[in-house]
Amino acid sequence: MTAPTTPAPDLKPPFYYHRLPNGLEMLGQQMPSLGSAAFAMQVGAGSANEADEQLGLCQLLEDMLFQGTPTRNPRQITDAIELLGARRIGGTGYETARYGAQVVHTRLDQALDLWADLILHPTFPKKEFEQLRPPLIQAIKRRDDEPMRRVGELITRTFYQGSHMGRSALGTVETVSALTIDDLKAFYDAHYRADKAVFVIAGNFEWEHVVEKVTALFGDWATGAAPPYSDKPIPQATIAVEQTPGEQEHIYFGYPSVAFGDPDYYANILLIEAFGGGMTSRLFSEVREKRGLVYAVSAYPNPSRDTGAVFVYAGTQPEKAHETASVILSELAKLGADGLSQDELDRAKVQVKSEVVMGAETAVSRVNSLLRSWWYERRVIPISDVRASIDAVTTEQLLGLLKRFPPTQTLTLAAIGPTAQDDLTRDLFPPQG
Amino acid sequence: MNVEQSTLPNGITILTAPMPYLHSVTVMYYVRVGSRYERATEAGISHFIEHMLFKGTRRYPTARSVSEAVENLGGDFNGGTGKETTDYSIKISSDHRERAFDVLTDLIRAPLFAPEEIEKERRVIQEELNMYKDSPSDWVHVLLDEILYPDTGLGREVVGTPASLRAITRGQMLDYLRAHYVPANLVVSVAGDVAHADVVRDLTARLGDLPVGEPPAWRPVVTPEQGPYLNITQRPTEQVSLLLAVPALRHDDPDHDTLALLNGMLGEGMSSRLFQTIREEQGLAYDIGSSTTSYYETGFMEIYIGCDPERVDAALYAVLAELRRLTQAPPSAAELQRLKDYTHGRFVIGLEDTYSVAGWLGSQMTLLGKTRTVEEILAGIDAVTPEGVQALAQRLFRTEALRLAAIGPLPPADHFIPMLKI
Repeated sequence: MTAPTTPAPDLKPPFYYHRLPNGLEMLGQQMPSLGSAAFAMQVGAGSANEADEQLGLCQLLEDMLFQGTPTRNPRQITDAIELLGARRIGGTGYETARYGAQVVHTRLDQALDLWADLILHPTFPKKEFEQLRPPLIQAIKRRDDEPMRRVGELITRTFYQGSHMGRSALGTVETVSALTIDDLKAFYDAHYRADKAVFVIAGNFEWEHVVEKVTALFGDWATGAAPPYSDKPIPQATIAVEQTPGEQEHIYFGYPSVAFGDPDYYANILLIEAFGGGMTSRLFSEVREKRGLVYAVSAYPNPSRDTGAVFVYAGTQPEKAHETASVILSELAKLGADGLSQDELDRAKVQVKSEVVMGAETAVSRVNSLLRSWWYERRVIPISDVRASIDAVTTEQLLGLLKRFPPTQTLTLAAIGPTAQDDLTRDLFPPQG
Repeated sequence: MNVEQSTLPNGITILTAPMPYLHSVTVMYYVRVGSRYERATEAGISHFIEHMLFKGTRRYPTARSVSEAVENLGGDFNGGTGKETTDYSIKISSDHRERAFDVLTDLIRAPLFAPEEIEKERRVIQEELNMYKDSPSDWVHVLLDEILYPDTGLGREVVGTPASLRAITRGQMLDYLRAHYVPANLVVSVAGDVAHADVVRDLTARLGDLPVGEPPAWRPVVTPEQGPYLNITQRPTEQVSLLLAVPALRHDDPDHDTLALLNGMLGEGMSSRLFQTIREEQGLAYDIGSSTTSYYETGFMEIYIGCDPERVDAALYAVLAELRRLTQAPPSAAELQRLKDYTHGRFVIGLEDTYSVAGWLGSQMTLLGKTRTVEEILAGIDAVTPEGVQALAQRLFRTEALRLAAIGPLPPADHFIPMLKI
């Protein structure tokens, strides 16, 4: 058995922590005013852990866990979920996969019984496996029909090229067609183990009771999970333009930025909120309000474990593609040189703090935040600490952050639409002297 | 949840749902106006106005000052235009409630419509239209509306057409605003950490003097008995997007609870018949589901199918077989009960945040002129019988009622006509 190496965190109600002898960790946050409880089991394996020829495996595996247990066939599983009136919490990410639900609090025990069965006892029926493959292939093709989604895929692939982060989590038609049920079983056996899993619950529940219930259900879960995959991509300045017919030119920029847990993590969130977050942001104002170039324009941080990015998206008419890209570029350059004014920073603080507080009012959002901060930083971050970290950011800190991660230095551009690459980029990137 | 309701002397309706354990409040102003009130030459004017109200008002003269008034206090703005309603909302921490009333009131009472801002916004909206056109799964809905309600406000895309967007003038917008943004057309819905008496006081001070006006009536739309039944757009996509639809229920039809369960059974969630047969058992389509839309005098139910081009015929036949099955036999008591439990659970979970509650109440009041309590809705759901579900299926699923819209690499419409049979 893998001995846990980190000490238990010192938490006070409404937060709770418990570790089972097999290493499974539990976290809880009580929100007694709610009528529901939300929970999720997070396992420490996602698309990062797939071999190149197995891309898409985790997507199939997530669905496969709902296809049968020794006591339930697929139909009985979906019926049981809907009988509980449960809203599923799920999703396969880069490093993790989540399985859980939000239910009215009186149905929590039944939901835990069901999800324990799904997570611990999947039977991997072959017939159901073959039925899952065509829908995933269709999902890949469907994404490719929507240029706005395809360009998101293109920027990720280009920005993180050479790393597992640059691969498509949905997989390709080829990899998904080649996957076998034994691939899925082997992956499940290697990674779905107690010592790489975290159970989180938020909402209306009794902690002692949940500990007892989870111990009874998951106490025998085997340990010995495979080591985590880690690589740190080194982004290159690259231009990727796909010329295809359509109404709009979909444009993405990306530049390297902070990872989870970085001392500048909240500084970056504030910087990008002011740059391209809401309707008062620089991008919204310069690209949409002043020039009417776009309907959609925004920037957002994309942190991960050892690295991170800032991405900027805009969709415009092909004739205005160059102008739009050019305005965004000059705004990125301006940001890199001068940072934010005190006034902009203060406004971003109010906005971000308010988003944090209002976003924390639902049980599902708390489950997701707790899982994220625990997985990447092994911390439970109360909202009051988040607010304090945000308040502490200064304009000088932002300049330091911009020096570490200059927005225009290693810039990646990806675009999909009717515009030819030369027409889009002509004078945007003068040769570096 | 104890919802309270008042009507100001000039006719504005106010609803409050106190949720004292939360820190936020959502304020929504609903207006009974949307694209169904538009003439073809001014298509998109309701939506254009919604955009323009954010571009500057007397008290907040620029787009920037409008958004700063809300975002500087950490608030979150939303606006939306539909066929029958337009809504403006702010979610903000409850101690800033009055700012939400200030801003939303100025939006609807004192917008500037600065000419140079109109020209810029014209281009922004054109880009919004282009964005939808680039997404087949969005655009197929426009194709469906065109055949359900041809040449009417209900049949046109809310955003308008390139030609109508070019033609709309400032004067038209001001006239349209004056005609439609009158107290009898206004519903204010508030949910969160707030008391009804305070809301009424705040709104009386801001909206109590808004002059009573005579709102223009909506013109009833006649759903054509004769075609066109199909609207097919060729596009070289990898996947096909199809919508199969039938006319369904108007807002005040007494069978709405039955419709909710019929729709749930047919195509909502992973236990639904369509999901189970089309996706799980036959693997014919990845995206499959159904939903319903209601208007004052009509409505429709749509079934969305996203599939490979070579599976279109098989998927369509399989969907039609499920519709037929619902007309031939009532669901079992067990299946109906499972669906009732599901509907209960989801309904209760769905009403935990202020935005959902304010929207749920406001849209009911705007479209029905009344609100039902959670208990009434749950009791209505409980009262639905298997025979009722079958009777409604027989009423809706008829060969002559079927309509089909699709985008993709497809055969011509003639190919599908003989297939469309219940």
